[in-house]
Amino acid sequence: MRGSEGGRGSNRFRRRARRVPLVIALVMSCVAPVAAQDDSWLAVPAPSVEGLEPSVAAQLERLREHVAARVADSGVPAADLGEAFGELGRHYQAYDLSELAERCYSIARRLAPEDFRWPYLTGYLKQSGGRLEEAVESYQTALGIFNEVPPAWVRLGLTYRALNRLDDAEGALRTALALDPTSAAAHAGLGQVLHDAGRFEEAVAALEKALELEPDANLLYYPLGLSYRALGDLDKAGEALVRHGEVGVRPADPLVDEFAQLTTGERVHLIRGRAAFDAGRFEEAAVEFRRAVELEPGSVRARVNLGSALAQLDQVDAAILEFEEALRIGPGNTAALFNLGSLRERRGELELAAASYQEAAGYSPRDAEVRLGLAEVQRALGDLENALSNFGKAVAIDAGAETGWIGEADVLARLGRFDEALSRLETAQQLMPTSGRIAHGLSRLLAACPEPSLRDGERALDLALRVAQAQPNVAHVRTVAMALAESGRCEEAAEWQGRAVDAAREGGDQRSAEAFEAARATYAAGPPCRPPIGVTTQP
Amino acid sequence: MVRRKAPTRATRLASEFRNVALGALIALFAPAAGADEPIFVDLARDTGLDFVHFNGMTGDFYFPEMTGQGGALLDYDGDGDLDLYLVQGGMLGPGKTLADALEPPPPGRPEGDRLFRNDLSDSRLRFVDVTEASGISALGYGMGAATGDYDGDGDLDIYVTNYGPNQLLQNRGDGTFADVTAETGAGDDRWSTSALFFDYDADGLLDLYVVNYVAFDLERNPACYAASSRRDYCGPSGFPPQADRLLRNLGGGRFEDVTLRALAGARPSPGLGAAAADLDGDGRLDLYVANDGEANQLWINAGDGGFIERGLLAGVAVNGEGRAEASMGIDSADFDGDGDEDLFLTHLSGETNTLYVNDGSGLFEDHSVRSGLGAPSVRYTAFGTGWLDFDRDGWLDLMILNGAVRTLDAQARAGESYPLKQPNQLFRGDGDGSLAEVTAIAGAPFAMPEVSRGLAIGDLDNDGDEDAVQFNNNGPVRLLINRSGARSNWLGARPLSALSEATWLGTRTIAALADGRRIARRSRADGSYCSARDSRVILGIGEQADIARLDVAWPGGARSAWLDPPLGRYLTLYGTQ
Repeated sequence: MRGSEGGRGSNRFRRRARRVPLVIALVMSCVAPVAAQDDSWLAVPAPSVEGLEPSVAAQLERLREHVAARVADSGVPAADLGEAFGELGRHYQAYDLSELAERCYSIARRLAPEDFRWPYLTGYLKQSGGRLEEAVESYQTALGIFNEVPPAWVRLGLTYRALNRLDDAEGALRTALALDPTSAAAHAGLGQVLHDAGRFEEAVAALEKALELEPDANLLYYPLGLSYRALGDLDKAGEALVRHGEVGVRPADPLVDEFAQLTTGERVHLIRGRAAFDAGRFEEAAVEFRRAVELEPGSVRARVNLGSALAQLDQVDAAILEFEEALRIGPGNTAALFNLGSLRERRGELELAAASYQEAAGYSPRDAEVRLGLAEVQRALGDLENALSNFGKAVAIDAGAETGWIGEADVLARLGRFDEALSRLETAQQLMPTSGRIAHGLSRLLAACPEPSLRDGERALDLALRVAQAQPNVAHVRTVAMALAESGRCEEAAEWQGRAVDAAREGGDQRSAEAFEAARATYAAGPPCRPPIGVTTQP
Repeated sequence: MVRRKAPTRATRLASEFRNVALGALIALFAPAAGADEPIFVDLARDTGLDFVHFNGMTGDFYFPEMTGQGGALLDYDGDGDLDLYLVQGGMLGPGKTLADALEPPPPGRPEGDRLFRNDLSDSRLRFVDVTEASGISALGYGMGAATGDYDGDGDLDIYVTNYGPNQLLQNRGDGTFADVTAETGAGDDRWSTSALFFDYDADGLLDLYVVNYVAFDLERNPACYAASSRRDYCGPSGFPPQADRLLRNLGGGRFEDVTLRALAGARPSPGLGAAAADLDGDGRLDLYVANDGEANQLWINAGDGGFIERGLLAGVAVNGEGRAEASMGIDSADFDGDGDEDLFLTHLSGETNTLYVNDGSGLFEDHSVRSGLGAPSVRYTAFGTGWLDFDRDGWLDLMILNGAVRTLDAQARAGESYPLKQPNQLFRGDGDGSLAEVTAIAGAPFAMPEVSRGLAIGDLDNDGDEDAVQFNNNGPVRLLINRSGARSNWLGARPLSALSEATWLGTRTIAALADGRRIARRSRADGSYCSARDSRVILGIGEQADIARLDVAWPGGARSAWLDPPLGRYLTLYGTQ
């Protein structure tokens, strides 16, 4: 369902890698041809191609035939044959055909016992498959051949940690750091090992070092937060935990990173792109989705995904082109229509945006997000009756859609149907009593409803104060001032309004500051300090 | 009737022991299994439990078909033994018929969920399909079941979760059930997975929490692919997650949806499992929800009718590395004997199953690796799970059911028609915070790879040790009867409130032993995956000769205590409201 590693893109690490084990491939101990007596162990592992994407099946079949031909040629040196099996294994591993990959590596190891790569990749394969004790053996074999490989030590250390062999894990990770002191993955792994060992201060130091080296690796804030928590520093724990995200760190490892280059076909690029997208690596996602489009230009899914990634990168024009092309190929794709609507809305093309949302709603009438998008554009266009209808449909589909409730009340207020607006916000507040947005909308209406009979200054003030305490922003402060004014507490209203004036000035918003100041002056003039006509409920 | 022991302190609780020690003497003198005999044997076929789950797969890889299913252990007829409710699948997809099924059921096999009555006699189990006689008609595409006496009439009712409309089946007390979904307001038409009954507001009425998964539309079945580029089942990330539902029991046979009010800030998440336990030690039932690929939620009961989400700071939203995992099954229990509830979660292959150990204040640490549970779990995708003390040594053991969700290439190449099969696992608690895998001696059902999902644990033969029911997706149900031959002493307990003859869920029964150990067990039917377990508790006491004192912590904060309770039998403990 998800990638096994959610770490940073490999390119960055490749640039940083100081030692690359590929040179090991050149150290071949055996150049003699393979003995031709019992060669049954050289049978080339073959996948079932049923269900594989044709280009993938063709690629694997081509590779397998190549290896079979090398086996049949008695003049091929063992090391070359080992290379062929290893390469086939790498391709199988890239497609997650693990059992076949392991068999290939096993043959390659027998043919080329001094080649670091095959026991190393066997270890990686076994580690990924949860065969941890076997993975340790394989990594140890690989490091016995060539031990100056930081990512191998990192992976060995992490495998030891998974086996609760903390001393061994620490040793392996410190070896990795001795080889490459800039390895964020090694520092991160060490930090977690130290946390497991109850050495929390050392864990904090190691994790903070990893974050210094890889500031974007926000996943590390979680173990960091837990280490602070264990040290009793709950403030720092809380600070770290709120910064926690999904971007991890992985060792710079050309052998593993190159798997991505071995595969072909639209589907693998879609899968890989999706994983990158979900991890917030949008540039990497766009590259993968673009390759999928190149391989399958008629794929609606590839184009929708590419458009989504481009939109995340703010390449709006290019994204719109992809969505339009997706809809040309496959009309009625709700995701493409919704995304197109969003982008057109972002560009201010409200009529076009409304058309896209409307079409999406036609195909997916029970999609609350589509209804909300449509309603907001219709409201912006002044089409209030239809906006009201779609806000209502959105909350009927998803009663937790705050935006829908507030939008509905706002449109009702704009239509002068204040009692209905109040009623809808009351209903929403009963459903979501802790919603700040709902409470704020309700307090605004109670404080400043153009229909004076609906105002309730005390209740408005109670709600507004709670909201402002939780989130003291300008809008909330102004609402407190309105509620105070409605309650006849003009001096306090002026004081609260003054805070809004100050905030607007500090923010450089002179126009708002002037408008706020006018209201403040009204409040300061004393009773009656409320203008007869209030404002809408829009927060 | 067992003589009531005097409470150890003044109490106004109307507490008494009532012996319902069915099979207790049989248990004491039953022949023990030899040391080399398996711990569990499958007696489903031998006892008439003839049920094969049918998932309706057609090759279209509909997401729900590999997701179910579970069932419930419950004594629906009040005769003292556990009966079995089994959830069934069916055909999925527009216009699909049995002719489209890759593995159609044998002709004549009845459709829909089934209720099997346990006619236990002289320690011999025999199951009879009484579905038709019970009046149950549950023909939805089933996922799971929850049990509880929602109407307080002393018998257990059943809530059935489906891919589609759920059902609340009210036990009429005469062996029949009525579908009261509409009039109670307990329905939910979305894709529900697990559910649980718990009295979160301590008003004596069981409320209901329904876990919902994602919005999957059969008519818009997207093609998903494995890394190999082969068509495969989708995961949840491509579908909109669905909000769970908290239904407050108003009494009078009505529920009110208080989700938005009580679970402030709740966001729709792809939920699969849930458990209700006092996780912060304040005497109130909290709620923990397991989500598939998104952060799990720890809802701390604020005592004012609302909950506050504290998963991240408590250390149980994500694993120790900070990653959200694909949580499926869950069980909460005091596995390390320190008096608080710990959490165990099952996960996807490539992740570990995760053990969160409670420090007593509601802060947790991920002990997956140091407990020994992490490494053996990485290669499997686990669903149903449950703590149990199969050898009655007083330390909780752990059963885990596995079954992949993505095609296993080796099985596919071998021609396996449903290549998701994996073996199940059994771990024995060592009493030092670690558990050792004992799958190799667990018995044949554990050596047989299947696509297992739900797990319900309970003492089916009333012999004082815990058995289990293994619900297999697209396969036969397994009845795992405990043959460990445990000879150590035990006490079974069934705590009841004054208002109902059904178990008071959430009660903690605590045995204080002469050596100073305290063994705490929570009465629960929740946890695992889409399944409901036996809500009675069994306190195995290992080498100890007796229980010095038995404490009961009732939901709401009241406590009772007795000295020297009788052993080797089930006791009914009466509390008060």
